[in-house]
Amino acid sequence: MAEADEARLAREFDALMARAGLTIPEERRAELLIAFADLRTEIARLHEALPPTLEPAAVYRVERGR
Amino acid sequence: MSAALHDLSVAEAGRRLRAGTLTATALAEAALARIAACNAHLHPFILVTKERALADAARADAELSAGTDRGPFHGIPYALKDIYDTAGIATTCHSRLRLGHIPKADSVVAARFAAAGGVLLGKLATHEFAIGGPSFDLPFPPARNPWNPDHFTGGSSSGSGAAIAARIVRVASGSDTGGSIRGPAAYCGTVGLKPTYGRVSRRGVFPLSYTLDHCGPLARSVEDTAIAMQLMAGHDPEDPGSADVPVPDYRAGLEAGVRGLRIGVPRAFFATAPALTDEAGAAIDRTLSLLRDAGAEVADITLPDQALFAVANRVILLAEGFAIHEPDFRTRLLDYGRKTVERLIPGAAITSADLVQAGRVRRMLADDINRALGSHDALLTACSLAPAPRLDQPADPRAAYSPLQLGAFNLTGHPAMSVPVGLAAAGLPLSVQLVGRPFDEAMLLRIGRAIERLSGWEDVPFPAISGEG
Repeated sequence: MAEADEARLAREFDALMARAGLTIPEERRAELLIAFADLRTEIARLHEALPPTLEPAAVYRVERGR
Repeated sequence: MSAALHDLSVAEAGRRLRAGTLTATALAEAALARIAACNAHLHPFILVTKERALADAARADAELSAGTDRGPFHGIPYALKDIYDTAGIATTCHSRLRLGHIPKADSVVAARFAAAGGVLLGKLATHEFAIGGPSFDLPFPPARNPWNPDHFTGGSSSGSGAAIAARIVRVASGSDTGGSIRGPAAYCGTVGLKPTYGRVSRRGVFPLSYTLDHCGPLARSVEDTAIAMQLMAGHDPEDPGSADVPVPDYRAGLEAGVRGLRIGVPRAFFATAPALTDEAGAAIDRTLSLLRDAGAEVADITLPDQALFAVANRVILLAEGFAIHEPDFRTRLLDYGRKTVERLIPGAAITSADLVQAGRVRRMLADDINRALGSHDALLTACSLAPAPRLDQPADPRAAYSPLQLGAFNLTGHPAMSVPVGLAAAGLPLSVQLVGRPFDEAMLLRIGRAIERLSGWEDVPFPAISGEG
């Protein structure tokens, strides 16, 4: 990964942890960054085009009495 | 030669209990002695409930003597993964955060085992909150694999796999969110059944991921698994995911064989995976040959890339798991084990679009599996791509379950079962995975029983523990 990409990813990670209200100890940050980078790469696959009418699996269904 | 008490199947122990040639107390005492002999080096149990076990056993003996028969599990020893609530008995999730937690009520599964007259031996090791392990920074050590204690049991139902492989119990409960029943079963040489989503109540079991969690049994044999499933399965109106679907007799078709059954093989799932070892691949091929020779129609099929199933599973697991632990992560992060943090904290990075996309992919992939099962009675694929790794093998923080190919069927909710088929040259178990139509666990048990018989697994001696001849 290019240095600029690494820095951008690290900034994104720090921002997300702050948004979640989490304090990550400095000695654990490096290993979590690796997991985060890998996750972002993997997730890209989910954003390939899908038919607009394809609904999520957990669609809400109203049932009588529930 | 008469089998040792710890090698008696549930059915055989039941026959002897009813014939009056065996008592539940003798069975319980033998199991407790076995725990005493091996728990210090294999660590399957994090809590032994000796008094409860002996009381359960005495009650079973009295009831059976008086002609009160609660069914095939009456007087049989079992143990529960320590994320299953047990009234008045600590349920820790193998975590510092839950030390001293004493539930007021039994989980539904614990209550069902008790009502069937089972004998509770204790609570079993897991990965912390069913995700973080194997770890040495938790209040209890990780379970070790009885086939070779230097090797991993698989997780997270690690104590369940170890307790069965050490021949302490024939049946234990597990839970499976990305493979946590089938992985330990594969590595420890037991059967492991992840039922259909909704088949077994999750009420009273600490959640990891609401839409991916499945409760089910690990057991020494397919017949033992069928008996355990008979107890565990059934509708629970208080579990929002529970399905109101009739439960069949799981033992009725066990010996029906495979002649005429159509078995699909999504070969690209495993054959192209770099982690697949020659031995694991050969074990799958040998199993397919045996099934073909026994009259099954076996054909390769094409499914979407296994990695797409895996990433959708991971996104949903991380989002739901992070949501559960977020308050404690904010205030008690350092009380968690390192691996739990490594695996769940990336959940803070899941966006709403990621989660919606994972849900859409989930529906698409579930439809793909349903289509494949429209023309096949079951699928057969890899469970583990290699035998159990060493415990000291450096863990890849990105791979919670690799090289196990299991999360696909948590994503789609189909029933899936790990069946042992032989031993690798290193003496560690090899396995295959069967996948069935929704609520057709009976078909998996039928095919699994055929594999157990055809592969010769039922004659493979289990490992001796320290002090055994």
